[in-house]
Amino acid sequence: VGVVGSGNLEVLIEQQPLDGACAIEISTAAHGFGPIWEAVMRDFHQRWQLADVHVAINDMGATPAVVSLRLDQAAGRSPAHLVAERWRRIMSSYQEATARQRIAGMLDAGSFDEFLPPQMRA
Amino acid sequence: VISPHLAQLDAPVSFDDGVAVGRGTIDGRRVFIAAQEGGFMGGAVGEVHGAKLVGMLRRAVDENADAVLLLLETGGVRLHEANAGLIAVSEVMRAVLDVRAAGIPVIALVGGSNGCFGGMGIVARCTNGVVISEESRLAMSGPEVIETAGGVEEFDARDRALVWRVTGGKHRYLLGDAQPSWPTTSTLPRCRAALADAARGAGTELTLEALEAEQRMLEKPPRALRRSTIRWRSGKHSASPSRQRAPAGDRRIPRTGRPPP
Repeated sequence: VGVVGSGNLEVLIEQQPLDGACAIEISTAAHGFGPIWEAVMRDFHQRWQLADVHVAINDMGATPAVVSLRLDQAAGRSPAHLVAERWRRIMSSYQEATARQRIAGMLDAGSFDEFLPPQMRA
Repeated sequence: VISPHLAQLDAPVSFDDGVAVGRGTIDGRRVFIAAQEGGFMGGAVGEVHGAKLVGMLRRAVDENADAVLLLLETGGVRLHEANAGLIAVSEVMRAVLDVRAAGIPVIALVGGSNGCFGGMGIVARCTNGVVISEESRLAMSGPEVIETAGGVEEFDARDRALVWRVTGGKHRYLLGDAQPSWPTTSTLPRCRAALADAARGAGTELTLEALEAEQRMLEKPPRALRRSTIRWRSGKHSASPSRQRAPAGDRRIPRTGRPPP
């Protein structure tokens, strides 16, 4: 979820065998905020208790509150979230939609097969 | 796949390098589709970004798609990546023309707030048709670029009316560069309908005659404009009676029923 824009970030959460651990990888434009990242990540882990999960972040100077929000959005892709997604698909303007929302809006529901999706790395 | 160039510069990277590519269906027809993410570096094209577009276009030929759709929102080449970005854009152009040569229509849709500029503006015009929103923009050099290169007297990038008069979607439609435009406030389903219409109506032919006709069209407007300017100037002196200014005395509205002061 999210877009790497000013004050924003993207979060990618994947299942990975990590012996019950939760690994977090952060790539950020702003240096020297290690303790703040640690605090935000510790809070996130306490809220969700994710195991065997790899979290990757590309950040462009997002504030701690925005980081927490995006992490919760990425972790909580619940049925309610999917309903909201569907509503957004029908109602949202093209201009405000992200690239993937635009594709979803153009194609038949669920027919999109992405090449080189974000979780695929070279 | 992230950009190796941005990583070297310690600049923020994105997992998809600012573009999503893939295939799907529209009303059951097999289409290949790409969407640029205007929020990441203004949708600028880097090496990986361009390679993803080229890969999608080539696969569309291999799998004989019914159509290719490009949802463009971009400022053009990503300057951080210099020549790699420029080469990427030229490869996209070649790939678009290859898809057309294979008889598959390519449709570009421009509806983002960043518009479509630079090399990708050329890519848009290499397609069979451009669908554009009224408030979106399509051009080669952006307003700030023209102002920097030519001076504020040449082009004032802060003059919004001028910017949209020159690059706006409505203007592109009136010039014949794009299909009838639709309002930006449109919801996704309405854009989908516009796109599906364009894909149905598009011809795929790319002939020398068509290119020559386009060239003649490009050569025409300045001459036509000059002639009409001359006519307008001479018309000032020999205008028809209805457009001539009446003498001041005749223009006074007759007052009735009111005694003069």
